[in-house]
Amino acid sequence: MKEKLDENFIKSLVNIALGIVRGKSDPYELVNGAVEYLISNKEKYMDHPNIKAIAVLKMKGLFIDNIRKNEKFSPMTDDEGKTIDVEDKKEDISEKISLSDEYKKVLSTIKKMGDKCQEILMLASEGMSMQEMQEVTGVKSLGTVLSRLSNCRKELKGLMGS
Amino acid sequence: MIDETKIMQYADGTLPIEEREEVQKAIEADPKLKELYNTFKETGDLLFKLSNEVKSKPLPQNLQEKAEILKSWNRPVIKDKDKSFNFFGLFKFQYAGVAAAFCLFFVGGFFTNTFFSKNKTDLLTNESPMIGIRGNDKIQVPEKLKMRSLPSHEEDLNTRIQNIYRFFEEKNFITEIDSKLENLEINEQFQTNIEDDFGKKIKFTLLENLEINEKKCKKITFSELIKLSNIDEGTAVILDLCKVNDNYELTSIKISK
Repeated sequence: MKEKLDENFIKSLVNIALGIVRGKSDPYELVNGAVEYLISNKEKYMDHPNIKAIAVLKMKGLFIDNIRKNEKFSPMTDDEGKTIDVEDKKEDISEKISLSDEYKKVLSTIKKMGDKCQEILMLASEGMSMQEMQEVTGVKSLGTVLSRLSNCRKELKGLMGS
Repeated sequence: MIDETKIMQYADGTLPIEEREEVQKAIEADPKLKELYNTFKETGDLLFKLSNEVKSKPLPQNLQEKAEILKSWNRPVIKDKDKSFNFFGLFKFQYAGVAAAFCLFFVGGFFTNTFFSKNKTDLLTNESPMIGIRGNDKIQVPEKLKMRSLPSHEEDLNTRIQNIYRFFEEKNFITEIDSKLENLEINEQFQTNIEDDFGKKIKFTLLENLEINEKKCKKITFSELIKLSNIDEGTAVILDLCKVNDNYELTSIKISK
């Protein structure tokens, strides 16, 4: 099914972005950047069958750029020479959009997991098919996507239960 | 030996129909597989809710504006037949607005408890699988259409209404039944190509021919009670379809309880 492009499409990207940024960046910024990219390349992507994957890949790229920029300038020091932790200054987005305690609990649990699990769980939560997840994650086979998702869900259950 | 990814797909409703029976039997026979199945169901619900919650929040103004730009692209929505079915994508959020619009109607229905037509009552007394759950009607355990479970606290009206749309995509549904409706007799059942999560074909029954606002309408019902949440014992769902510009359109949905 071709993705319907509307508010819910962008909200899907916000949800996935929450998994990508892991509190280290503003997911809205990533989504904004990715959507701007789509809009400025309208002719190229207007009829793309998997535009969400394009947007997610763009968000990942933007996030990596942000991290690189931060690393380039850090560690920052204040006037007294004390190191300023840039990451700690970031606003917690889950507070900003007033999500429920239950959501925060699940999200914070996912944040404790490895990068691969965080990514695939957020993609799965957005209803991506195995093929779409394969495209976004760059994993070679569908079987690997399936087993990764399966293992990550078991891990999530274990962490939620503990 | 059943691969655990098959259990996951089964729990998500994405396993191909031909493999479901084997997996179901394996789960029933092995407590460890049953536990694994529960794990996948639970995490599936969690992830589904995660996405739902974000979607319930408003977007910042700048993103709303961009959503308007994207909307103006007018991409044709084409069904990709080769793509595998994915449970998480089953629920179509574009229907949430429609569902919300229906709410006012439903709430009225809840208080007045007047959902069932005379014909529906006839159906009940004729040992139909559709068992009434209203008033003094005896509640029996019907053969329910199965669907994905939701935690009990989500047993609210809005959620139940939204979950009706898990059973069909409105546009496809209308297209499919449009031609069938004209030739049906009252109380006649008809089968559609839509399936529940276990691959069972869903049947409907014509309850009544009626006129609403001078429009020719049909009142149809799911022929069995449907499960709209984890704790739902079965809900009777009645749909009104009225002819507008030579085609039927869904004009109202009534749910019992």
